[in-house]
Amino acid sequence: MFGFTKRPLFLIAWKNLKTYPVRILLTTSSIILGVAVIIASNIFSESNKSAFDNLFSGIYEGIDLVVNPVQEDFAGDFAGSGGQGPISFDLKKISDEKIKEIENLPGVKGAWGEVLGFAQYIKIVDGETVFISNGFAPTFGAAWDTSPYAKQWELVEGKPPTNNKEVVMDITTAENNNYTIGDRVTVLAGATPASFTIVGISEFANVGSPGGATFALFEFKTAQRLLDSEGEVDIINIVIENNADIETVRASIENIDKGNLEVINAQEAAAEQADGIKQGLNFFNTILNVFAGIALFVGAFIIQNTFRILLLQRTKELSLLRALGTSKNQIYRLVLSESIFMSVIGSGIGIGLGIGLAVAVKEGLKYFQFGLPDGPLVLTTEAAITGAIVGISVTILSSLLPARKASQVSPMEAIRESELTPKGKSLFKRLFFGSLVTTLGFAMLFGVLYDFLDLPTLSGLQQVGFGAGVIFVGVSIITPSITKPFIFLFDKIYEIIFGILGKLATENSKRTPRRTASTASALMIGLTLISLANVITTSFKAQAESVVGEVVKADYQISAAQVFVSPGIPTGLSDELLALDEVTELARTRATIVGFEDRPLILGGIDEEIFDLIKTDEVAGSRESFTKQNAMGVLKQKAERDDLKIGDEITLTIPEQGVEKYIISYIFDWTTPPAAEFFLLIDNYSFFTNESLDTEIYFNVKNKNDATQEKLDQIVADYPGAKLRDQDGLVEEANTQIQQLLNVIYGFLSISVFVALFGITNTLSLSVYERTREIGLMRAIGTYRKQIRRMIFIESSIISIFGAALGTGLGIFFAWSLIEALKDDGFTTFAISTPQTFSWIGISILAGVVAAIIPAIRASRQNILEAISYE
Amino acid sequence: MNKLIETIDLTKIYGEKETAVTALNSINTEFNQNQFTAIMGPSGSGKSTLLHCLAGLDKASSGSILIKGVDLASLNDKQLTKMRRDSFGFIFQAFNLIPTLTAEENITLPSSVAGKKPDQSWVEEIIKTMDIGDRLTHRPNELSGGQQQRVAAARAMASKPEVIFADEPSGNLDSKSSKELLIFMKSIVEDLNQTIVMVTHDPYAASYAERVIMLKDGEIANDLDKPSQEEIVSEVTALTDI
Repeated sequence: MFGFTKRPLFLIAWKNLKTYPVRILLTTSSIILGVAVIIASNIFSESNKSAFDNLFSGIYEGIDLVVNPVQEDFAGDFAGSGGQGPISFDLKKISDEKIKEIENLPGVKGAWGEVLGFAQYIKIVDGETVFISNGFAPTFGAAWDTSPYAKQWELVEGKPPTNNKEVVMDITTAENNNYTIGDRVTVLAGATPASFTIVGISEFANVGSPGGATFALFEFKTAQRLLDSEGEVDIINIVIENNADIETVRASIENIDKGNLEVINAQEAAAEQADGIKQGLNFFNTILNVFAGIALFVGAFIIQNTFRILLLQRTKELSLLRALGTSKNQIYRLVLSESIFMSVIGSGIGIGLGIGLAVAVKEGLKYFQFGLPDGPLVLTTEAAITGAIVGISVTILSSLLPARKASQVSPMEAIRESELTPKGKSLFKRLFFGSLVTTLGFAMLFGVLYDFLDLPTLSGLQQVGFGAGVIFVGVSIITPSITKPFIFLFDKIYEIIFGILGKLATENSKRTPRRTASTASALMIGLTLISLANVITTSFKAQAESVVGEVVKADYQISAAQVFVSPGIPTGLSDELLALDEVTELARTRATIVGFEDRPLILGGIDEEIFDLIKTDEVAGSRESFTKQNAMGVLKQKAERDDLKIGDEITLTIPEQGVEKYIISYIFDWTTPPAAEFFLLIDNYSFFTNESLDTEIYFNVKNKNDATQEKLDQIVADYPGAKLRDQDGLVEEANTQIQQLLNVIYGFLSISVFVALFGITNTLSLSVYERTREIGLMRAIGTYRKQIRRMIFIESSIISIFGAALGTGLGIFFAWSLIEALKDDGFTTFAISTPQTFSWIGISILAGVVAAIIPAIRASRQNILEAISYE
Repeated sequence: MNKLIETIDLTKIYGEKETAVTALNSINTEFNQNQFTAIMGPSGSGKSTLLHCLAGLDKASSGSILIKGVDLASLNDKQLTKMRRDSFGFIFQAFNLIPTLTAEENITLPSSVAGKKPDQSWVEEIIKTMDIGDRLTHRPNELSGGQQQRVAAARAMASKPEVIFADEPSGNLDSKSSKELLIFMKSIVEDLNQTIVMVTHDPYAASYAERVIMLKDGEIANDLDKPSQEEIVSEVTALTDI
């Protein structure tokens, strides 16, 4: 019996795939990667979401109600003043006497207060002060909860802290830094560090430490003293009786101190706080998805290319089917059903790889102590479906055109001995339309920069971005038509360097300009984004450098090393520095909280020398008049906002002193102000001279040399909370942060470069296949295998240089136009990092060569006889 | 006359066990310098296989091929390649030329690949002999079939090889071009002291050779010295009839 199948073409498609598994891998490689990134990013953010859910339910585990002090709504004011720096004012807290009061209320089973603040473990390694932290996670100090109902912290070993010399450390910090019970450890909480004995190691709600933060847990009274909460607690946790009504208890607690206490449902709070963090994670997820989108976009280019390649290799087979009576439509469906098979398989592998990637990323972040809560990996059904749908549809859509083309194959191809290289069509139309689109993009972009075209509904920056996008599309259309002229540039150079092999390689790239261009385009996308990111950040850095140089005129600046932990630098440091011969000029800044128009306000205290050490623009009044008693300085923005003039009277409520009047005598502007808008001269007021902390110190030295530096380092070393930096140090600090950000972006974008590599491999494989005879002939007349390989490598370098050069050029141009568009916002510096730019071009070329390894080996191993035989 | 190539019990078997096909069966012969030899035989007689083995493109199953006393089997791929590049010239039936290179670049390709400068006066002489002086800057697709084969012949000679292997060089040509090419080939043996081993199934082409080896079923059936075209035809007919 002969077999009979209802769907012979479907069967052929399936058999084809079964016979050539490598084909599936080649074609779907880019889809696999794209889907993997989507899945991985989803798993990553979903897992973190569930981990944060667990964390917050852990924080509130067993707690029914939480009592918070009602805060006055002045947060907005502080946010507006924008500066960093220690502000010695307190958020409202609750008197610890309230705990007893609440415990005695009917329906309350238990109540305990929490004291939480910033504390920093310090260790001295080789004489250097090292701040212990787990990645970017914060460093906390808290009171050890002694209530039998408290379930948050559990001792893993040791005992709870019982006096002011003992501390319990969280297990994550202990393990990471090899601390054990009995060790001495220094903790900086407030301005001065103190030494403690570790008496216990504890774990928070089974996650080690929440969010990877370091925790120093003190005995209750010690915590209150160290964390600036004498006689107070931050919140009170409450457990109610089983039969009590939660709302009744809630109301009765609020009634104790009406208007000052806010009582919230703990479980609702847990959900609310977790939601807040989840929104942040969603943003992160969106960014990851954008990168996945870029990878898929590049992938679509490559799938289309690969399909063309594979179909071309099978021209004979397809035309035989045609000769046997298969219709064009059937061929079309055959190819499409193959692509459906491939897309399903590719998406499946992609999902699997994505899970692996998520595990890898998670372990990686753990290794770098990134401080995300621990928890199981979560793959949601939606994520899997989204990944699969995206992968499948991108694959199928990309295969439509190649499938149509394949169905046009003539039945005669099977019989005819024809040249394999496709005939080139005229590229003039492309050049024409591409130029049109590009010109349109330029018009939009330059329209903003040179004020001749302003599209309604778009902001200037949006228009520039949109124009850049249009230019990119235009250039992508043009590339095939400029491939030849571009390679022409290589012709002579390559011939001189590589001889006849160089000549052959350049000629081969010219032979199929469309293919060379579309392969290069895949690389171009990645390189455009990379060089865009590179130039933008380099410009940011240069900008920061010039701003720091301009704004800070002092040789040195000292600030609190850990702004959150310590509110400032003990004044002993500035006294010591003032006594030094080397120090020629020094200015301190201090801050205090005062009342102004019934609101808290940060009042800045400064030395007169500050006007020499920070760049100051005088607006009105004079420096001399500022030094007089009761004279006040005002920042320009504040004066403008509140319409303040020289001679105006300002009334402030000074704590423990009462109402005082000041006369505005100096209005000035500076760009890195201490976080205040009203300023007084420190030496004129006892409430400033009696302050024990400086916010910042600026000073000049006689000779800025190694000896001075050493002396300064020695002095500052006694104040672990203080950080000494010269101008270079300030710049470097800003730059390090920018470079870290850039590295993360590079990491993500390199995925798209990686995907582009598969494209190069595929294109070269096809090129090699098409030239079977040529390569065979070359081998026959005495070309070494090594030389054949070299020829393929050279060819690959042309593709990658083409893509990298176009991409880098576009990226730099786009960065330039963005910076131009931001000129009015004070962004004036355009800078290119030449080493980074060339590194990336270098990496691209190297990557191209790596991508060429397989095709090159295949070419060099080609059987000569097969290549030159006719029978 | 100097002995250039010698085959001793040259045997080539394709496939294994039951499916094994003996393409060459213990061939013992030699090829002399400055001689134009044709190898003839019906389809499947092993004539192409013999040429491929002699030229180091295919490996013998047993027996040996000595080129000026050097056994080809003792050479590795690199040495074989070098041998083909420096000592052999090739003319194939079709697809002799790299389409992206001009005629001139094709002619000098072996020396370019070797990184050597071609002997300028020698190349000029060949080009003159082949009468392709006015086509040098053209690419293969701008040349007629006959011109393409003449360029291939010129390339085969350009590096002054010990021997030129030709595989049906006139197979794809019309009779006029075919005749021209064969005249050229004959003249390079006679005037430029070259050695040619040519595979053909065409008695007319073989009649230009000084010696014709007849193969049948992988064995030498006849070895003719300066045969006429009629002699060759009758021999071929005799071979095919049996």
